[in-house]
Amino acid sequence: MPYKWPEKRQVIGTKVPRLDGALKVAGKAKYSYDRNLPGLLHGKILRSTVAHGKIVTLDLAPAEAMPGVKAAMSIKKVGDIVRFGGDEVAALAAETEEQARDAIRAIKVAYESLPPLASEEAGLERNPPPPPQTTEKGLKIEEAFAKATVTSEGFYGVAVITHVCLETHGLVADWKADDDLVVYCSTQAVGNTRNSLKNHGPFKAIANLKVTCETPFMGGGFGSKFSADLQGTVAAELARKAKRPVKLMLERDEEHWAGGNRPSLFAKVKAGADKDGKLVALDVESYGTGGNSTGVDMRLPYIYLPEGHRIRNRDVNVNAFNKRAFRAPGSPQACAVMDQMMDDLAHAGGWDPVEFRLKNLPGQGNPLVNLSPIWEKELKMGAEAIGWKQGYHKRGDPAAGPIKRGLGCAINTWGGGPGGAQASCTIAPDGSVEVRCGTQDLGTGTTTLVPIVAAEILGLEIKDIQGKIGSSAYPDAGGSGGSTSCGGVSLAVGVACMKALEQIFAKAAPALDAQPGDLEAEGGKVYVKAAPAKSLSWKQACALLGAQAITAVGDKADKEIQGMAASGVGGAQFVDVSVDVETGQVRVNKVVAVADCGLVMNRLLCESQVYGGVVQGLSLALFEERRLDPRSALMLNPDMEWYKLAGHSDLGEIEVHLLDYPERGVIGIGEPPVIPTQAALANAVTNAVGVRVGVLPITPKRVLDALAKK
Amino acid sequence: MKKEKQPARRPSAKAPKGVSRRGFFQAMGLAGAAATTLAQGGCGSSGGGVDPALQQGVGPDAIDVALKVNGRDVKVKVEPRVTLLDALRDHLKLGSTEPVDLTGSKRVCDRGSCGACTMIVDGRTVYSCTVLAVEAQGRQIRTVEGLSEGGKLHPVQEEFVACDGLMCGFCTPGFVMSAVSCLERTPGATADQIRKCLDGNICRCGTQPRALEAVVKAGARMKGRR
Repeated sequence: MPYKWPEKRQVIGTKVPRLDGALKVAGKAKYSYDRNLPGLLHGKILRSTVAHGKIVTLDLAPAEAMPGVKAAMSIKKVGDIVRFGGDEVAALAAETEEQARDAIRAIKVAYESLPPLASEEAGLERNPPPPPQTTEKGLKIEEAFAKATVTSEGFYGVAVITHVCLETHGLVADWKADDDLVVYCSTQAVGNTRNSLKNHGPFKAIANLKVTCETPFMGGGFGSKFSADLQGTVAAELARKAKRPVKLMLERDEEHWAGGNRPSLFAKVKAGADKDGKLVALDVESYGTGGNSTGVDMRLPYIYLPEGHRIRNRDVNVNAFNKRAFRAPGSPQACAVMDQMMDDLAHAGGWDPVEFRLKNLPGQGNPLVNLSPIWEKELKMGAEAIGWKQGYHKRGDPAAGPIKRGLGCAINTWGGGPGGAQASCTIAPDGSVEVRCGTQDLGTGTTTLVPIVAAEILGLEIKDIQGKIGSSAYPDAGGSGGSTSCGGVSLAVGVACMKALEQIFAKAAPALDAQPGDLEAEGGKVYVKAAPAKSLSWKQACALLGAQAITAVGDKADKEIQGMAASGVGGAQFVDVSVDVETGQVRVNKVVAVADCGLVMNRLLCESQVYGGVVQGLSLALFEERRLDPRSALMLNPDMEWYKLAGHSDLGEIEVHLLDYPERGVIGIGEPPVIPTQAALANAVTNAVGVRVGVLPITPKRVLDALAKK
Repeated sequence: MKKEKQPARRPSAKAPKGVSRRGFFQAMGLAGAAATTLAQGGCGSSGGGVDPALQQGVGPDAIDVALKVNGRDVKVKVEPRVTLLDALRDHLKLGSTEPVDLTGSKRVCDRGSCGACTMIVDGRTVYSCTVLAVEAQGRQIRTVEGLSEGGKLHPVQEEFVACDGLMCGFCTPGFVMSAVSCLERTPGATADQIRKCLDGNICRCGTQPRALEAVVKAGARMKGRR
């Protein structure tokens, strides 16, 4: 019998405030950063002050003699190369954080500087230049352009940004015994964090090593926190040496240097459409950097598929920390290139940008064809909500005065779908229910999701369920990435509860003079579907278990799960801006976000994910850029005053419309809403001022520079 | 060959090289530090001048610091360079007999630009990462933990939960403190006034729209109660 979601849902899809909200607002939620264990030492890392160089001196002895220092270790050795400003060199742990900082400064270190690569452009000019990777599909590019009656050319791009998790990376390591390590880690993956410590070189030899990762709360990850990381293994090594627990949380500058970043993408684009307004040709020459040894996440062409395209990309290395996944890897950059191009092409052909997108939604032959009806609905809803008919004008606001207003839009897609997950459901004879799942809550609401699913399946209320997540001791679930937690966890928890309920039904059926298959659980009762008066209270039914609690396990990989989850969402966003052409200042008046994620599990928290995506998208569109000094390649803004995040007054009004497609199952919404905001805002700015700024973030300087070239 | 030293991010009293915010305070002497911090933190002058004991100079070793936090007297033994934020987060357990653990205020930017460490000192919000613990002596310090003593949440906290004005929750205590202070000083504050009050608080998850909604609702409730 295949498992499926109940058709009549009591809890799923309602608005459930997050269950750990009271602890968080009261300051009582204990994050990794907040773990103060008895005897705790504080760890710090010595980081390179050159972006590229060879270590020629490294002496820890002076630091080891400093007050309070209990353990020290080198991470690199003399002769090793440092590859970015802030690269890890050595570490130590001391009684207080202040003592640890002093001692780090006492380490004797010297570097032989090597020439750094400080920008994508410098990386491109390297000899030999990085080779292009070319993909060509459909018609030959010349043939495709031969079909075009309208063409446009542009240069679009997105700078490197950093994750800026408010809780920095790091952990507290506590050796309970020689072979028993507990870590409190700020992570998106308790299971993988455990595994990364178990497999850490120096620990591999420890017989029967047990590692547990406890993460009941964590302060943001956005794709950058999937393992213990270097600072985590270092903390564990220092703790083992000192035989005391060690806390090692990165400081803000370290977080910018080595906590993760999103690759840049800059693209020279030529595109063509035929006389009917169909995109026929796309030629892209792009480059971008993913740090000192990795490249961009190439997702072009994004959504729209011309009859022929050619993408020639060069991955450029610079002396900066390597990229990490960032909320929908590759997609915001691809969307910023593709949807700005679409806007310019619509302008060149004299077509309305919304109409032009509707005309070019994926058709037969495009794997996204099934999403086109969703985009169509979303584009129409969004246009209506932003007031497109009244507010849209041809490029360049004709209004008098320096303040110009404009509208723009963009669309997005993302996979989502169910990630690997297992869960257990234990029902005790007293009727209590405990559900365990080794997932974690990034602020997305997984803590609240688990009891929602269990209460729905068991016919109980949320308060009747003890949901347990955030520990690697619970049944394995994958890391929270790719918007796959909601799908995977919902399935695993749902099926665990369905299987447990089957056992309750088997016990209750004789008492109700019925077959197990005739029973239903709802409203705290177990009853005969055809004769609801024949019923037992939940407690009565569970009492029939006798002395023994039952436990059932659900696994996302279960073959009998049909249609409970899916992948592939569509979204559309519209932005209304005012731009001061004298100062270059952009003001957001309003954003409309229309999002889809299949079956909505918790409407309140699901909407929050969309708000969050838009806010982050606006911040990226207007302010965020990692700046490297052009000579030294050292980061110029590793802080929160020159690396700017949007504040309240920067945001304008945000309106969220959530579509609900229960028949598609759970999909996941964490990533998609951040994708189109940058492109939509860029298009609105162009609509207002009449010129293409092209490169994000759209700073006042970039606006003024674009206007000067007019 | 080029010799490099780790940048003097936090110069110690024992090795005062380089210039940083705290090094600057030290160079000026604590009297200067107190004046500067008061101006920056916006505590408002209590008008009493600087404690004569401080004018003689303290440190660099740890000294006893007496603080009044959420109406209770606590003692910590910290070096004079330790901030109010770090003293309450990390040193209460280590150096004090008071069994309190005040980690609700978060250290995020550690230089007065994000608001996650917001406390209310003598009735005004301060970034507690830019106030030294020694300088907070004799002042009424309120932290997020003090809002719900006895287990009952403050209306602002209740509305943050009800409206989902939080996600990962790491910025939330700072937002809550800014909001409480805003509504205490400006009962019936408009949405625009509240937005300005919260502009000094940064959130990475994007909770701002719903945090604003929560504070507007809490403000209406608190006004109705008066």
